[in-house]
Amino acid sequence: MKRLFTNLFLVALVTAPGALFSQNCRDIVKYCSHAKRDGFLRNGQSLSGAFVEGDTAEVAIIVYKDMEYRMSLCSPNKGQLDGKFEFQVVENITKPTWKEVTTFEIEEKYDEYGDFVGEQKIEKKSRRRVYQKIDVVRYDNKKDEDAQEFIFVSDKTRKLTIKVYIPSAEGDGESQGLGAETYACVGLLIEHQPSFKTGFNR
Amino acid sequence: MKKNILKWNLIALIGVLIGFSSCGEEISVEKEIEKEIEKEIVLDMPELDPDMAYSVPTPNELFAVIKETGVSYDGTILNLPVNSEKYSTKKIQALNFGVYFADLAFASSFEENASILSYFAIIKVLSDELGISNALDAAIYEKVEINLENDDSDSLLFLSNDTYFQAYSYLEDNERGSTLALIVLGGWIESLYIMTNLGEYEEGSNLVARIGEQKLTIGNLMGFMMKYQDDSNVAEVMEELADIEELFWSFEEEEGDDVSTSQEDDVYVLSGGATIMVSAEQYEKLKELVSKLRNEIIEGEL
Repeated sequence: MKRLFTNLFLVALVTAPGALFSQNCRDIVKYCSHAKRDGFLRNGQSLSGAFVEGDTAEVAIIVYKDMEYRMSLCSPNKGQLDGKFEFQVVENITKPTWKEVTTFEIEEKYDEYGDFVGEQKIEKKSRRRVYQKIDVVRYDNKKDEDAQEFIFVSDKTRKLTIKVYIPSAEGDGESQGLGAETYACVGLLIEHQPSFKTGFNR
Repeated sequence: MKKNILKWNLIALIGVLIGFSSCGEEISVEKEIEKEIEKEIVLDMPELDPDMAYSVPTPNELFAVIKETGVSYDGTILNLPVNSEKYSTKKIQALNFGVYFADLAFASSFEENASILSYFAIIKVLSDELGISNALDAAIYEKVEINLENDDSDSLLFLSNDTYFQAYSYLEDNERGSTLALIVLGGWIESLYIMTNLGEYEEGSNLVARIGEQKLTIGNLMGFMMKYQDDSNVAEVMEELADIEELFWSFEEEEGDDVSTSQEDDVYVLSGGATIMVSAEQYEKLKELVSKLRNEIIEGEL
């Protein structure tokens, strides 16, 4: 019995910090710097989570036509991560392509007297129109001077995947890195506003 | 997806057996099989990634888009606040919390002040029943009244948005994801019900296009709910959604321009890609399926 309690205690000790951090990170996104004054409204697809350095998170979101979106990342409890996030916006599209299909036909061969002499395999190539699903990188902040916000509009409603890479938080001199035991609370803030707003309102 | 594959495989198998029994019809049977296989590909739903976080747009965002299609507000299609008296189980209360939130979002987007107050009131009642009233701003009702008096529709929209996030965060914090899943589903079904009742089918219209695009959202909705499907209430309502999901996946996608990303000042523009098409028949079928499920929810029969 005593052993059981010891084991339970050890399990609790090992799992509790993760659960605690995970719990504390909930809705951390509300502490990210928002662009309310520019007319943006917090979007319900924003997310918060607990991560260790080197983690990659993937989030599937829907963006509407006629909306302007602002996407940004922050870590209120690990300020040293701010400005270092890497993220990509990817769209999975269906692309029509031509696929070459090779088929073989068996042809019977006869000699000049009409006697069967054997079979011959004849190769036939044809092309078929097929649709392939491919990932297209729509935005990569590494190619945009590590920009930490992405503002965009879309001419169609689409499903996008945001891939976020949680960097190392090492500082100069003394290491301030996130150890495996230390979590960073990260918020992916998405905001929106109608894209047809023009003039002094913007 | 398994159900679909089995169904089409069975059809294909029957086709093959008929082919063996009747040589004269061999060619036409082969064509039939080909047709069925084509259908299987069209209905093939994408696999959901268990490691992916799926997000679902809120009704507030959806109605901001819908408003721009030029449709008019129609309060008669919304769920009556008095119906809340019928909701006795936690499952039906959560679903209808989502329904009323979508109604509030619709009224807020169209600045229908008379309806806003009554929907805020009923959300407050249901939040008490669901044990989430502590999460909501205690002074929300007073704030709404002040903003209504000042005719401040922008602030009302912010308040309705905030109310949603407060409930959402509270449920996540307290590991009540299954309640959250039911709320999100209720809100989506009501939004779809409202959209399909705002106008008749018109080929190429903005409203029909917006409805067709919900094909993308249902994929995310299913992905989101999957996390909570161990809960029997969630599993049951997911099953109720199966016909609607299958119908959405039959909507064809028309090839468009090549995808491209350009930049105008500091704003990027994502262009190109396929357009989701909806036929009159599909529209009517969707309207029928959504009405059926939505009525079961608001009548407390689910």
